[in-house]
Amino acid sequence: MSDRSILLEIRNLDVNFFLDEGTVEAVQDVSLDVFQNYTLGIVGESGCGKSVLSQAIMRIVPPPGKITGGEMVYHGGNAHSIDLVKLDEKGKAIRSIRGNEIGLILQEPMAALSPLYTVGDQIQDVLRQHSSMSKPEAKAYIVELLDQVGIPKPDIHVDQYPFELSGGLRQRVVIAMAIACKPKLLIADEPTTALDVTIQAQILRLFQELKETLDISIIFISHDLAVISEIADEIVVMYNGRIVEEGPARKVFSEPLHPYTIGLLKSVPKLGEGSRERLTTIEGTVPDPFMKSEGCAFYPRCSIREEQCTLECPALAEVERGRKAACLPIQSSSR
Amino acid sequence: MEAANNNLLTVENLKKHFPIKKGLLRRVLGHVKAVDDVSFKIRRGETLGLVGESGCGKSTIGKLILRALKPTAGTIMFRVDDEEVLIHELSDAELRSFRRHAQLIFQDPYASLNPRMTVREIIGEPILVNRDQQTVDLDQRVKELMDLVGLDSRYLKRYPHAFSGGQRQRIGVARALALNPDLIVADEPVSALDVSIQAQILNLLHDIQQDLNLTYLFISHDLSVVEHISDRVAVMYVGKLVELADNDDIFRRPKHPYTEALLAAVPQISERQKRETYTLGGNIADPANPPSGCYFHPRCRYAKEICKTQPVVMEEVSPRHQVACHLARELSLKGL
Repeated sequence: MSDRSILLEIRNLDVNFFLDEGTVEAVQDVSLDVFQNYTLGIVGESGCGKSVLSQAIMRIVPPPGKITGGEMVYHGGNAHSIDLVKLDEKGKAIRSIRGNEIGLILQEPMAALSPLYTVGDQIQDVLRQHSSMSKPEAKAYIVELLDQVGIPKPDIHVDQYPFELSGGLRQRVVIAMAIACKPKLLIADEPTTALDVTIQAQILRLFQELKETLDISIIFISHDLAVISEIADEIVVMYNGRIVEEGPARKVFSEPLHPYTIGLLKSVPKLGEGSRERLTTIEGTVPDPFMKSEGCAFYPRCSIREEQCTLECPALAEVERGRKAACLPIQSSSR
Repeated sequence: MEAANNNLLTVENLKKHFPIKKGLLRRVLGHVKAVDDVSFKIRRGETLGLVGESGCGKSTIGKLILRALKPTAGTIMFRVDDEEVLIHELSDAELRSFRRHAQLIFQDPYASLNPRMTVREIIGEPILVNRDQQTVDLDQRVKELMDLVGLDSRYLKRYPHAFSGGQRQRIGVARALALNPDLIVADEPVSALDVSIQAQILNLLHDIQQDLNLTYLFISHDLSVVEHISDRVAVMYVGKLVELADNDDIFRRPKHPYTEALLAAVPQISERQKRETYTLGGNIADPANPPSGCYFHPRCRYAKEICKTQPVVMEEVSPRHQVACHLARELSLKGL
């Protein structure tokens, strides 16, 4: 892992939303590395900040949200490194990265596609922004792309409108659009959540194949632990805007460290367990986003809480080789 | 073994066909066979899980049982106090008094609660509408229900917006319980909830079933959840049941290739190496224009000539295990 080169380095990123009711700290002090040809899974419940994090990387955080601190250094092609935070949101520099070097795939394919244009025209739009392909060249390339993402009869589908396609095919079109400019990083925000299980399995397989054939990195965001465990190499667990645990996928799910990760894993029914027993739950609910506490945000729901947890917000720190957790009791016991 | 009067609900040859109309004269061009010749029984106190992918007709079955929709054909028999009620024949007036026996829990706790009504009004409404004589003190009854589903009864006068998603779903459950129903149709009741909240609601459904001897028809696309909560499971594909068996048989000894493919498609949390499974290709058939023979044959990896031409019917291949597949007796399929 360490011999891989780093594609994106996020350090101490803060994103705040300035609302009339108060400030919501959607992303707080997030640091992570995205390596080349590698899938980073980000998992967490709604409101944990995982989608805002992806918007921050694309520099499309909607107002009244703002990046208020930190840096995101992108080591793109041509051996130059850019801090994405310093770029002008509407400037030329970010527009040459957005959709070109970093692609984004969202949950609902119809939200990403225009109902008024054919599949081919929409993908061509993206190409025209970032390359100088001629029209016939582009058309041939788009048919090739559609074929690559597993759309049957691509020469016919290229001239169809999104409403003529099924949900699974639409998501494949969105993926084709996202990889059209050969990005180095693909951000997929709940890309399979709106799909049926058999179609979800097809799309997950497609992501695996694309990662291998295109040599890209993927940030895969999901609330579904099982989906993340099937696709990710490394996992980041978020709670209330912060990373609470990070480590290799297999380790995080077999021996979770943070009490939140442990609770999450226990609370999902696992296929094959049969049983009609009660599930273990995490008591309580996620904290009110306007409430700020001095200590650990998970404290009220935590099973191993100690007094020190109310005094200080734990930072993410290495507790085992290659594994990090933001939990004071765990950090002190591993010392 | 199965005493006849133990069946709370008996559904036979149920059909619901929606006409496809087009043009100025609204000519009927064909039918979407949303539910096509479905039969099953639910015993008192058990949970029947109904799984299938979107558009397979599972929600339509729920609506037909509650008579939110009128069936095209078939019978739905419901046993109330040793009397048989034929739900498909009920008049509007009869329906009104019947509805107390069967209630629905909805998927989306944000869409299914009126934002202009307080919790007291929402949970109390079914009691008022049905002029439930047993309920003397409405506030008292609503508080009881709130306690039962784990809501703080001090929040009686609050509006839904003041509650979290999980709490809202509890309000929906309390409303469904208000008239002491026998049957609860739960249509994707945890799909819109976060993982940690989902577990709380599943536990709640489990607990109240024990306490109140409820019978569930649990509709879901999520096989892990269905396995967790169901006694028996029915698998549906394009308007038809393809397999119906005890929980363990469905998940460990599936006999229909579609069930096998569904099981293989479910992502799993595992420390093991990535599973070597096959991925089901193709798309779900169009219920307005289904394939010939067995509807599943274009996607089925075992399909033979007979599957393309001969329609299939549900048959009992082993005790309490029904399958609609020409090859059910010869295939050996992989469960979990």
